[in-house]
Amino acid sequence: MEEEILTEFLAESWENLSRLDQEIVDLEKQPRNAELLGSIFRTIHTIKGTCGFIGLTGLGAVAHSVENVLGQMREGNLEASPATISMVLQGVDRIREQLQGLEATGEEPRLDSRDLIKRLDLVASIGASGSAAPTCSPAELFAATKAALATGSMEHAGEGAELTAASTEPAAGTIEPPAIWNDEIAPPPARQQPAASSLPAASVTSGGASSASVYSSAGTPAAADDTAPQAAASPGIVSGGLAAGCAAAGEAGPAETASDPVASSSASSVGTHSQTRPAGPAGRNPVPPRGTLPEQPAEQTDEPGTEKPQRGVADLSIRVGIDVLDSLMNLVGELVLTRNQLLQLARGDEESRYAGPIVHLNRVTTDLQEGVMKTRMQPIGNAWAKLPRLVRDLTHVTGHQVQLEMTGAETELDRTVLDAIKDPLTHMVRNSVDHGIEPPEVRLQQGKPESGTIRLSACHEGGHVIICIEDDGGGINTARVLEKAISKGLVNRTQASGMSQNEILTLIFTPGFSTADRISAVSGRGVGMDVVRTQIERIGGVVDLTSTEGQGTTIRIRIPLTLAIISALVVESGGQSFAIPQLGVVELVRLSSEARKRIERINDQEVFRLRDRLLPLIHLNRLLELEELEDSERDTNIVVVQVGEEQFGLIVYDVFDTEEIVVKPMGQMLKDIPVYQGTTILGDGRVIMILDVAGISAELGTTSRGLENRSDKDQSTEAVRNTTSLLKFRANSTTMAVPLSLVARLEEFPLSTIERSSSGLVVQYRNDLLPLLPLHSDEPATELADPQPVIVFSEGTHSMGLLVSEIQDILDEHLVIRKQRNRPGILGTAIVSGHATDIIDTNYYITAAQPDWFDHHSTPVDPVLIVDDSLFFRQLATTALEASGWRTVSVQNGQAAIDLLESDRRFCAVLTDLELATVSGLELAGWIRSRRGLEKLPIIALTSLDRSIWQPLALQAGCDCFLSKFNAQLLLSSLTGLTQPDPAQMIGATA
Amino acid sequence: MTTAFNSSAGTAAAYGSRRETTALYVSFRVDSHLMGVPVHVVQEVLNPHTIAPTPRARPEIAGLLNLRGQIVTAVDLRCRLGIQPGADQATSMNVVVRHREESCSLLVDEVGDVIDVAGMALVPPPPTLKQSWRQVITGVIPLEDELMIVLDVAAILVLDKVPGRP
Repeated sequence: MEEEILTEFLAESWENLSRLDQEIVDLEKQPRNAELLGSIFRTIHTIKGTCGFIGLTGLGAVAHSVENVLGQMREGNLEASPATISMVLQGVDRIREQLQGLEATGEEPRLDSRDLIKRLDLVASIGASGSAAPTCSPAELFAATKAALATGSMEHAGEGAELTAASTEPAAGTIEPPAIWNDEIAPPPARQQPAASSLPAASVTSGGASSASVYSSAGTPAAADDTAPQAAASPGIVSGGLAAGCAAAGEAGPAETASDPVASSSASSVGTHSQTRPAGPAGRNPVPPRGTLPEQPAEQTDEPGTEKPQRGVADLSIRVGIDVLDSLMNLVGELVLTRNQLLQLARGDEESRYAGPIVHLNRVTTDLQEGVMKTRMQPIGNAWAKLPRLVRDLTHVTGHQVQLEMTGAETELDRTVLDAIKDPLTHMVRNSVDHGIEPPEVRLQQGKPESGTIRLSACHEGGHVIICIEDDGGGINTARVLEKAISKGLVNRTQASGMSQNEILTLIFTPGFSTADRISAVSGRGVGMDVVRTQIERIGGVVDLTSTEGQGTTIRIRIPLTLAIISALVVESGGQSFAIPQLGVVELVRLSSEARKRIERINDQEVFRLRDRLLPLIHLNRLLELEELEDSERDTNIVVVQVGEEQFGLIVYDVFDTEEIVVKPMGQMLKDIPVYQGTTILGDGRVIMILDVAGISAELGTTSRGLENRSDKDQSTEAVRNTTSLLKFRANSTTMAVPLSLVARLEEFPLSTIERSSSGLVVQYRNDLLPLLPLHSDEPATELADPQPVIVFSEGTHSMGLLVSEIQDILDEHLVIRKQRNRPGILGTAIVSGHATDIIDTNYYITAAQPDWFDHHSTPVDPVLIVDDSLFFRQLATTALEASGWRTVSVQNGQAAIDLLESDRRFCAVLTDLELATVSGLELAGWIRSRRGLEKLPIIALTSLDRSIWQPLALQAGCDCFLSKFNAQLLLSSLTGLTQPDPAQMIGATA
Repeated sequence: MTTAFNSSAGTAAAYGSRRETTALYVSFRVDSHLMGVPVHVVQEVLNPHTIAPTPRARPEIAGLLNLRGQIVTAVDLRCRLGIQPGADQATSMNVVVRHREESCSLLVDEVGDVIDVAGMALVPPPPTLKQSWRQVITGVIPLEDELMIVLDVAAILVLDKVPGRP
């Protein structure tokens, strides 16, 4: 078969099917809507007809049986009940499967539809079985048609044009779908007989209640669930319909089944066909859908010629390939550029005889551009078409009752945007049905209507489309969300206590989060809302969620109208121009060269205090690895951009205009660079890159590590990953590292500011003198650099600076001290990013710089007992504690700790790892608690184990506090907090 | 397509039917090498064109050029083949090729004639050739006075294969 025809058929069928689901579900609500039924019937009929033409026998057979059922409904012989509708939907699903297979392979898939067809025919036969005569009539009719075809089909099959011309010919009208019509369609009526007669004590022809029983027992298990109660409770529906329609069905019904379109379309037809014909006009033939009688011949003659079906608005539209539109779009872009050049040439020469035409060209080009843009727009209803069906199916699965209301389906969006929101929308509606709407009995208890309502609405709002999904369900239980988040380790209890309602709601968008207590087939697997948000944000949209417990949930999505033409800010950085989508730009900040001092540094991160928030700054040129022209006199331009909740500032060299740009996709070879979202051509023909603000943010999220970010959030991730952040630096020729948690700041001092005092090098720093020490090393001290990089360690009001040659990197490493060193100032050697690296002992340097460092604290005299099997952590804790004036004793296992405690040594607290050889941390804690005199000894668990699991266990075992490895500040404050409540006892004990 | 160039393709009948598609090669020079690609993959040849840089892209990607509103990725063949950069990229010619629905420009030093190689053999690249070259070469056609290296456009445009890169 010709590929072109097939493609055409597929495109047409998909379009029809997408409308079909909606229509069928509507039909369920308004079973007597003849117009709707007529439209559904015609859609299926068109598919069947085309199948016959291109020889898709299997598909044609299914379509035919579905059509039969619909035909009975249309004639009023069969009630459009949920049960019958389910059968029709099953048929439509099978058609869809067949089409999918066809699309994928180019050949009709071999699906066994006999069973389905049998069932469909059985349903249809209930409508037709009012009297004995009609049951055999189809067979007769087929035989008759067959006979007619035998003479006519050979010359007419496939000759569409001829058919059109020859439609007045007697035979022409009767040859509807050729070939299969004879062989494939004819068998069903024959098959239906044995199927029916095999049923015990039931007769298809007996009508009344017995036909209802045939109906229910013949259904599939799935259908039986639906149909059984229906049939049992109201045999009258089916049989009543039967009784009413019986007489007429006797004539028109079977005629419908077999050859309705033929009959109706060929009023002039005579010959074999006229055998059934007289009944039509005389009977109940002109039901409302037949009001469209004139279009039927057109439809029929169209089929062989594979013209579009004609229905309503469809008459006024044609189908055009997307690639055609895309290339039109490109051409228009070109035209715009040429127009711009012409305008430039004509400028200043008002007298030119070209001036008039150019003005006209200008106007026409603008209109053309708008026109082409419009061709790409589609109503959002296209993305919604599947939802009524989805909701219907879900309500059956979940047992919730839901009304879906949709408004604003005509709101138009660019097709790329439309594609992008389909999945998220489906997901959110599914969520609303499954989690949002409560079961009917719960709703009744709460005084709500039994059936819940989901409102879907769309509207335009200033260059954006707003989509709202609103349900009147149970709302989101923030307490439960919080609990879940804590148990999943997404937040800790301290953070949780300070969270606002809104912040809690946003937790739902965190990856891996789902509040559903059970995992249903529908949702609750913990993937979902985070994906929804990611997808919406990828197209520059914003998701906003509000919920009132007991009242319902509203999700509001704001998305751009189009991705093809966007408004963008053109900036310069590193000598090149870049476009930043205006959607992500919050504001522009310009700092004069004096005001630039307001840019502050935390570690190596620049930040700017913008009103009440600390705005992280990024030099765009550094991000893009470009050299920037340094000009200290210039103003600094900061473009403040927003991604989700996060804001950051991009420092650019210059800011130009906002332009409407046409977004062009990136070539395959550039796709892997996360910081771009596309390319565009500026008015002067230059190609520039469009920056992807979300991509930049994502990248920074992994590379930037300002100290201000090192909040509890980082700790929890560290706990999970069991890594330590290390600052890597170079001193002379040696690469060394220090745990970042011990570093206060990184600075660079101009050489001229470093002074020499009696005790060594100092620099004036924050109204104080900062002592500077070189690294202890065997190598001769080298010259100081200008500017001199310094690592600053701070404690209370005291600080010291360590002179290094270069700050290199911040790394997250799983730290294992491989080798101990006896050199002063070195903790040991570890493998850091594949290289052996000395880890320095900050304690050594701090003591060296300020021997009086420890005198500023009234810390307990008794030492802290540190129990950890890792040498590194023992040293790290020792360093951290001793730097703050605590005394420490460390042991490497629980047994050693017990031995020490038994020997009546006094300690002010125990700091223990949980995973220990011989006696575990938990056992140690239990032992301490059971020991007379030690009941009140503070115990701190310091571990890299999963907080959510181990914290409760640790607290139960008697620990006072659970800390993740390793945050020195937190350790110190916890220790102070735990030992201070009763200082008198402490002093008394030592006295 | 190699079949047309087996030495057996001596008779007019053997190559006559394939002449249109595989016997014609667009030739160009990169450094001292004469290279060619089948004429049917070439969309057009352009004079030196403004190329917009693409920061952070792989070094082989010279940038993007605006071809009548179509944006085309330019690949620097010298860099791609590991040859020292030439005098000036601004004088590089563009051989625009279609590959997988996308246009890419190969930057070459100069563009030569369309060469009809009907009847000549396409020999496999010598095994002693560097792996990085062998991967991107379909074969070599010994012309009368010179060797023409036939590039495999698909392989050239797959940058992942460049040795030494992840």
